[in-house]
Amino acid sequence: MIKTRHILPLFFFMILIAILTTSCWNSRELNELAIVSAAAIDLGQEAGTINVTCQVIKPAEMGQGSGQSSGGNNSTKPYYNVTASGQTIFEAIRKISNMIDRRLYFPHLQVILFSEEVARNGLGQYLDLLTRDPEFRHSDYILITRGKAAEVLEAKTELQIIPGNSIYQLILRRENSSLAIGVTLLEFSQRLLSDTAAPLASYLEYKKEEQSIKLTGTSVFKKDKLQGYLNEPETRGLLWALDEVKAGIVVVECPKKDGKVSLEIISSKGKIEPQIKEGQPSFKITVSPHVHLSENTCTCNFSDIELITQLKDGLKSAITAEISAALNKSNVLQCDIFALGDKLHQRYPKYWQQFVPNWEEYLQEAKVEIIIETRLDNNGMTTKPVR
Amino acid sequence: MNPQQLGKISSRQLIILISGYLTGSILVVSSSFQAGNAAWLAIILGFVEGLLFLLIYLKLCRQYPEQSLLEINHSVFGPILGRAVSLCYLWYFFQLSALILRNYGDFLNIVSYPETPLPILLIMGCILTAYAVKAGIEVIARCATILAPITFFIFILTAFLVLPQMDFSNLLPIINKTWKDVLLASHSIAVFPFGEIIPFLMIIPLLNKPAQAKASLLKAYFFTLPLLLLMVLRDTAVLGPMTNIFLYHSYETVRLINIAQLITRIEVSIAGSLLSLGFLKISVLYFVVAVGLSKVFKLRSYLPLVFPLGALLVGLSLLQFENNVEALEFYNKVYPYYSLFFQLFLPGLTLLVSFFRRKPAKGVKE
Repeated sequence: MIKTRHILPLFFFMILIAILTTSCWNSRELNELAIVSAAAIDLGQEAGTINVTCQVIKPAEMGQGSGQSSGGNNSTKPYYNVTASGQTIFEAIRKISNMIDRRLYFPHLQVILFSEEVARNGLGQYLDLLTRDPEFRHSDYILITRGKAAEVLEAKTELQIIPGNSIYQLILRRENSSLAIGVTLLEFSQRLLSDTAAPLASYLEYKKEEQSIKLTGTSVFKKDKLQGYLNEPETRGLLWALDEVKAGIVVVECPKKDGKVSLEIISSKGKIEPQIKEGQPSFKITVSPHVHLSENTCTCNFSDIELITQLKDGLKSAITAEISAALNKSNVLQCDIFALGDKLHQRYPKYWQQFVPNWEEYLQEAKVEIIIETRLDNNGMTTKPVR
Repeated sequence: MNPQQLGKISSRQLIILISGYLTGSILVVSSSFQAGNAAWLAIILGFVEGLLFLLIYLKLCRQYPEQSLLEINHSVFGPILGRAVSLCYLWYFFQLSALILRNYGDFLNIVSYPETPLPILLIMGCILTAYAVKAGIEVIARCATILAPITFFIFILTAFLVLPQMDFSNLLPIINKTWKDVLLASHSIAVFPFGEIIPFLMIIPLLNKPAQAKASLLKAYFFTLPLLLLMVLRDTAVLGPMTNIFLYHSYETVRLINIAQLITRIEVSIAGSLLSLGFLKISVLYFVVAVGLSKVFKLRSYLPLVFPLGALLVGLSLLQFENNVEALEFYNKVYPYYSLFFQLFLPGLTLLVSFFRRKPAKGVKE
């Protein structure tokens, strides 16, 4: 079909297409981008302004050991924190571009930190850019920090050389203990859009003297304003019910009261079922964990079925205590952390309208029944303890 | 005009072409989510409503077998009025192709090329479709047999990849908005995409076995339903209440795919596959407009019309809306009623008039 005299123009045309239609209108070369791994948002010094801190990765420094070699010399830090203030996040970000010689690039952002102050004033206004702009991802994690969020980005982290990455890894590893929560932008926004559910976020503790960070507990919001925190047992109580406990250790008193037994959570299922009885909502929380007996500091020999039953009872009351603690806190804070309202809405959409206006009062009075169905799968590699 | 010149397609190609065409732009932007959690219900109701439209089209086809829409108009309304009606249709198809081109232009501009001027994106898309139209329906249909199955496969695959993010309790309560919202959404689904099957009345005379036209249309129509249902169920389960906020639901859903930090951030490749269906949809409409105009004005060939039409297409899609807010406003508030004129009123009128003309003058062709 193709004639010989057509080959040259065709070839020329192909080359032209290959050159002219590569990528976008304006190129963004990798060596001209400043990859942001974490962002921190604090209140600014003037009223109505905020400080945005971006943690930019310095790729050239990345390969050079873990910062140990030159003993904390600032110049070899593989990251660079740069702060600007503005009336909105985006204004501040564009101001940063006058302070840094590369273009800030956000798609690799993993964690967004908000200081406690910002969170108490309301997060809603800051979430818009993060959901509207295509450079941000809805799978970014939201964290609340005690004190200034920007300081946390200076934390000394030993294994991961970039604090932002380290925080991200902490969130991913939280499942090992299930004592802290990880909330993505999408999950936060979904709860914020609900009529009654309380948005949740991670809580990051930062010790200034040691420059150490720790992910612990849960931050609880009412609408978009920070209302309070759950401590670690309360957090796990919440996670049991939300079906988000993946692993962890529950310590139970041994039946003979002379030691402790560590039960390792292998898997767990949690379910919340709403009911309406005599016009009052009530809820049934069912949790069914599978555990292994992993550690035993007492002298009991758990080859005995009777003792195992007692152990399971201990586990039941331990989990019940955690869930009750979370429910208590929910009532103290007057926040629907379990999203019980949403469950009720889903099951009884017809009755929902009558509950919505005074949901907090209904929530206080709602009876919650806790049912635990434990299963102990095995005892590990020994029968009796060594002592 | 010699129909041989336009090429012939098989009924299998037609089925794939129609299903690619119908699922095309709805996978990018879907009005079904106005119904909230009942988006799936809106799809089913819209499907049923669209089926009524389709029955009118099929009835027309049976009355005037082997005739294209324009020839039917000619037979029913006579040469002058028939031409006027045909031009109405052609204007609608042309405007629809401009709408869809703009739709994809906005999509690309918002999600991945924010700094690229919109005209560049539109011109690029238009050049590609013009090339396909110039090559003819056979080539477009062959493209469809490659592009559409790949896109469907990728689309179904993403539904599995995003399973870990799904929360099926998001589908409850079944109605979280009013019934009015559901019915409005179902109507907009009936006209977009289901009613947009009407340009294929111009293409079915090109079937190599015209007897299979009815079966092919119905098969393709029914094939679209499960795909759209899968889309809305997937997106509602993943996004939950956020479906009210997002513009491009499928894209946002695919962005959340994360399998062990390994299969993640694959949305751009998936957007690419969605674009290929847009290419099909615009090509079909563009082809129909070019061929239709050449027939109305008794040209020997449609080829000289292709590039001028392309220039007009880019111009119209640029000028009709200032920004995507206007486009959405048009899509949600005007289009559902505006398109009824072309999708329901005109074909219905044609059918009605044809009943009064007891014996349709068969085979009146230019």
